[in-house]
Amino acid sequence: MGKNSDRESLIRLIVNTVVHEIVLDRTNKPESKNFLASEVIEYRSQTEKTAKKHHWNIDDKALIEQKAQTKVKERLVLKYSDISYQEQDIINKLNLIINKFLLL
Amino acid sequence: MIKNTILTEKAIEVINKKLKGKSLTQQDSNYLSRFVRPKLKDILSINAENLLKKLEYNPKALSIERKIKKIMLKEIQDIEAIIVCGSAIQTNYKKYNDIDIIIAIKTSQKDNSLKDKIIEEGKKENLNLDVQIYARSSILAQYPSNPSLIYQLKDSKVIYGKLNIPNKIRLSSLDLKMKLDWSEDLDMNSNADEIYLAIRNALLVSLLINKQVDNYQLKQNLISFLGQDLLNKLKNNQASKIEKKLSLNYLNTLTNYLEKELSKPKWEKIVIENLS
Repeated sequence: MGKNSDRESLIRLIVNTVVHEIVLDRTNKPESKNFLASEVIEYRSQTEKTAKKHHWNIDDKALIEQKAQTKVKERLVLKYSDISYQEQDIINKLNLIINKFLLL
Repeated sequence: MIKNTILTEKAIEVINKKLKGKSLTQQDSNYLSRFVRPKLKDILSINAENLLKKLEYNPKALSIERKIKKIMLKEIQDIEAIIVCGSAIQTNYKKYNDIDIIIAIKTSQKDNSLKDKIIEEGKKENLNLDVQIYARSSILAQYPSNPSLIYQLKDSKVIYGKLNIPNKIRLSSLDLKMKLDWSEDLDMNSNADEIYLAIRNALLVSLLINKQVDNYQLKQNLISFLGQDLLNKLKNNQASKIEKKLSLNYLNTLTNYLEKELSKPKWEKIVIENLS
């Protein structure tokens, strides 16, 4: 797989990680929290694996962050409309993941 | 004429009377409805072919399990249980690509290099190992709401230690909806094995809303859904763009249906019992 398609896979995995983390933080279903936490771990490990395949420059990081942010918001509105969240939450979580896994 | 050692002579006599259109006494009718029909229904629920495969003696099995135990006990501290699952155990070590292993330990550990070391040790013994390491408490806590773990542990074998999993699970629609997220944003440029995993997860959700935890059925559904050829190509990352497009069409149809279903209040809680 080329860098472009790996970048799209990476965005998909980062979006899923952040969406699951937000649902995990905000859900009113405590019985689902353990499962959600395990899904977050799985998405994070897949993110790390895909991110390690390439080096990512500042432009790559900015594009990934921007695309992921839009998609996280879309997903939360479309699929998890009962979950309330703050936009800053999304930005913070994205920053953490991108700075941790995407090496320059 | 029915000859069957599973049924008693009396049962065979009553069945033959019924099949030949002879009149039944009240006692015969009672026997048919209270004993014969329930027994036949029980037989229907057993997948004899699959069961025979699992029961068949395989001299390799013991040696493989001994090697696994040796590697794990040498490399990991505080093991509470070693569980083998997946196709290795479903086929009694006859047909599998890798051996899926879940290790239950006392407390969670963060040593990511440990898994790599175990995989390397496995290779030295000609074993292709896929290992997940969790704290025992974490396995037990997430089991009742984790669809993949429920399926993994359904046909599993504890080869060391003990792990008593609950016999009853309560899934919420949120758990299942989350499992469908593996299907989001896939396209023809995605890896074929990602598409395979998303289809597998969607089919797993469709079985769970029918209260079925059955790995054999899941495998059969995958084959009916995709065909064996396309299934292998997706799994091995060898599918062409057209094949990926076709698979994504199937996946989107299934996911749309399941998401619509899961938004109905009747799926708010799904209870499944008698799992062992």
